[in-house]
Amino acid sequence: MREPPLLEVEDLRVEFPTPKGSVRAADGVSFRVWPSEIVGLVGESGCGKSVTTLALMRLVRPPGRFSGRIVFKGRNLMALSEHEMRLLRGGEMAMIFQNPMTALDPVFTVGDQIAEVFQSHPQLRTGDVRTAAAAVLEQVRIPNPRAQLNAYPHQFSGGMAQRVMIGMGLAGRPSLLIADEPTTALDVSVQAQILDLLRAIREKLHTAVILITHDLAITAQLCDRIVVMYAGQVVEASPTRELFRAPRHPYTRGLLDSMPRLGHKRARLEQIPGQPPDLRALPVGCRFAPRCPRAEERCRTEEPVLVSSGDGRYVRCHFPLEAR
Amino acid sequence: MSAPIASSQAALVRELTGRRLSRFRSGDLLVLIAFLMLAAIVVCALIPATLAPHPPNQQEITMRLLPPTWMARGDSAHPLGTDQLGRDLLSRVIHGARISLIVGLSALIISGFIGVAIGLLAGYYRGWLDDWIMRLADVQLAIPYVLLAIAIIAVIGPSNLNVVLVLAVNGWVVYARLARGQALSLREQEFIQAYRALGARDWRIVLQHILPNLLSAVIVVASLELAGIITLESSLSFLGLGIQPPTVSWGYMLADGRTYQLGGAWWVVTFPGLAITATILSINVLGDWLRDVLDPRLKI
Amino acid sequence: MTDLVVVEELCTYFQVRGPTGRRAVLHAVDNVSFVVRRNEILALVGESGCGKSTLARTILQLQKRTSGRVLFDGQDLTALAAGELRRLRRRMQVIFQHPHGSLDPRVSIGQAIRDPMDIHAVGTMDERQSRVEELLGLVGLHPDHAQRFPHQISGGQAQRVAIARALALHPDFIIADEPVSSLDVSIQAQILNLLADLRASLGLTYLFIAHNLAVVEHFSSRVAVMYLGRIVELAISDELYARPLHPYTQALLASAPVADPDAPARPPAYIGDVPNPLEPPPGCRFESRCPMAMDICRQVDPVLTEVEPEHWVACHLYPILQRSST
Repeated sequence: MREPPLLEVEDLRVEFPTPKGSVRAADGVSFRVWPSEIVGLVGESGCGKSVTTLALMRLVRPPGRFSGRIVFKGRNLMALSEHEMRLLRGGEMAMIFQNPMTALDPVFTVGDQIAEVFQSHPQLRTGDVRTAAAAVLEQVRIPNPRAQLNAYPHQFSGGMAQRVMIGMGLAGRPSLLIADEPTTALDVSVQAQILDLLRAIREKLHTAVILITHDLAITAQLCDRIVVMYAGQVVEASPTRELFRAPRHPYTRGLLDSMPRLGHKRARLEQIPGQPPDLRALPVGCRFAPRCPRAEERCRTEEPVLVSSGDGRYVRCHFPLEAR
Repeated sequence: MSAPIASSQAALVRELTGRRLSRFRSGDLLVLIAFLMLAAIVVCALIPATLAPHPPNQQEITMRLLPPTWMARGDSAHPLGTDQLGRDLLSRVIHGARISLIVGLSALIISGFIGVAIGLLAGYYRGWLDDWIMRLADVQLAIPYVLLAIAIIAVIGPSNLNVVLVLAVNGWVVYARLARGQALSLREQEFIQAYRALGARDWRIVLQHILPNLLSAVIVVASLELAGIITLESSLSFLGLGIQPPTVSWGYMLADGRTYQLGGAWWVVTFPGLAITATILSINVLGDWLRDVLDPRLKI
Repeated sequence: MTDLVVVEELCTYFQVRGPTGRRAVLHAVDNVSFVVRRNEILALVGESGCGKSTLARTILQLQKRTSGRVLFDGQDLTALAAGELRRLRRRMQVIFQHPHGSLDPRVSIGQAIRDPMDIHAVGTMDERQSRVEELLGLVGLHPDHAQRFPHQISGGQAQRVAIARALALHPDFIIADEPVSSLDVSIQAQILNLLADLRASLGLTYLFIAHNLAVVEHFSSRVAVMYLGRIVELAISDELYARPLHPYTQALLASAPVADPDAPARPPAYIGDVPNPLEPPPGCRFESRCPMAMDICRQVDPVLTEVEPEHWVACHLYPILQRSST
């Protein structure tokens, strides 16, 4: 890809002090997102995927600390003032969360809450706000949008509320939408609709999307590239097709094999033994070594680094897997 | 059968002690002061005769209304001065600690026991029992307490035991509501459902799985309630409905000395008043601290 | 007798206050009948609010039924005296969704596993102790775990403890209510494999409640699909996944994510949202979302019928199909 990346994250570290020692929730995370690309950020709970994106938006709250280089559209986000950052957040960078119902204020109508977005980012005269708000709902495929403006959040289902959140995020015409587990709280049939909506948004508005999820299955048909995280680090980054076809990190392969897949009934699921390490007591060497079937002596002493193999793939492993 | 209770108590103790130590930092100077003050009061209550320079009711009419020792007419034998009958104020304040703590703690235990038991039953079984108990609690809360206490004492007569009973009657509502609320939310938790599915009897579920889990909240509330009970006991004694002489109580000392205070003998009421304030203040500080230690998310 | 559990016309209704404060009746489980055969895994699939968890709790008599019967090994649970029911509970157990939520935070792991034996006074103290150790081993935990408390172990380990506790009294029947849905993917596989192994070695029968269709396909012998308090389709797992008959089942399967980047992209089934359960449509409950709804669907509530051997469906499409094909 010749054009410059939309977002460049380099050596991002997020730390939280706790009574029992400091927790490095993200430890040297680096990845890039190109314009109008959908990137899946995948990993188990506690792997640092959510914390990484909070740091991108500079939303890590004290006593948490973070450092690293974040360049968005050529601007160094670490050098921006808090005011500039705030403008950026509702504007060019938007974020949606797992529980849409808690993100909407129950005492205001949906229309009021959408209108608020336009007030903080004035592009329209007051008279047009309602039309614009209805357009927001229409864009996210809510039927009968004008009438729904007067509805209160409790009258909406979870799926509709999530669509409203996406619509509000899109109101500032962002070039990057960060979606943190946007479908985890939703039912299967609704999940498919939300994922399809994200796909349509990318196609129509050329918005890049970072999709944070624990569920590899939903990334397969949606994401262009996948970044896999484990214990605070990126262990593998790869175009989706290649990752599914030939994972290079043993953890990625473990995830793929342990996932029950529709239409591929197996007598027994492969499983990754053990559990993720305690971030306060990380093993020496490779963090995955204690659970890795391929671990050798070197893995237990020397920490691997994320290396590129030149074909757009990166892996953090001393003994990466070759094609199966 | 006793093993689960023992183990859950062990967990509670571990939680109390372990977290208390880790939470105790230099910033908690206020807590330390409160702790030392309460410790001093408890010592007074335990061995008043050893600490007090004079018997509390020993009258020396020639020495009546002596000011504290640092003032002009002061006498070194009576550090805080004497009252209108020439009784040593320091000795009386020290002896007063005992009755305040005994009355406070017994009323606390009785009301806590009754309140928690009632609240548990109401919250676990719901239904008409719950409706009736909570209606009763609402009615009691609607009546001003001092009025209720006067009415009860007027019927059963003032005595030290009756004061405890009256205070306990006042206190149960708080525990009942707390225990009911906790029981209501605990009974829906999966672990309680799991024990029901295992065929555990209701009493076992309530005593071994619901009660231990709401105990920390009860302990915290009790520590805050203790201060309220001591205040009430003092008020009742002040009104002459509480602790009866010759037993010394801080509230009675206040009531007894109030006319002389107008004549300039401010010390007669100030020192028992200070004792009450110090006790309540330290208990409140410790109670707040205990709440943070036991459960930072507890909102009361 | 091959049927371990027989559910007959079971209904569980709740009195609730509607959004406007009006009293209403929620038909959480509405006239449900099915059987669980010995040693099978019957999966119960449905979206949130379809009544699958209420159904599980009603079967276990943790929730009072409104009407209907539940037979366990020939005995009607709904008619049993409290003492008899308590004795019978030894043979049927439950595993919940939230591993930490299903353990008492103040009870040690060892004691939690021992509790069922204490409750039913099974064996001597020594026997109970050795059974605890045996169970810890059976679910893949170290004997040292017995001393720990729930907050000191991970979610996957807590779920193993819950399984060990459920197995303590040698049950025949286990209801697993979303046992893996709050666990991480790599831990999910561990727990699913463990449950499968235990069934094989101990001859258990499962009622497996889940919303993840891929997990269910992998794990179950038969599948019942629930929608708004009703079972709308019930078939042998392979058959159901290969040839779903009910439009709702078809929509669910079409919506499930396919973990294959090379699979042809499919447009998602736009079937809207679940209607308000307090005001279900008068005819077929799926009618408002069904792409194939006909006039009859708006008026007549379809009954669950066996349209092919072992394949039951509650839909007006099928009796018509059969008639026209014969």
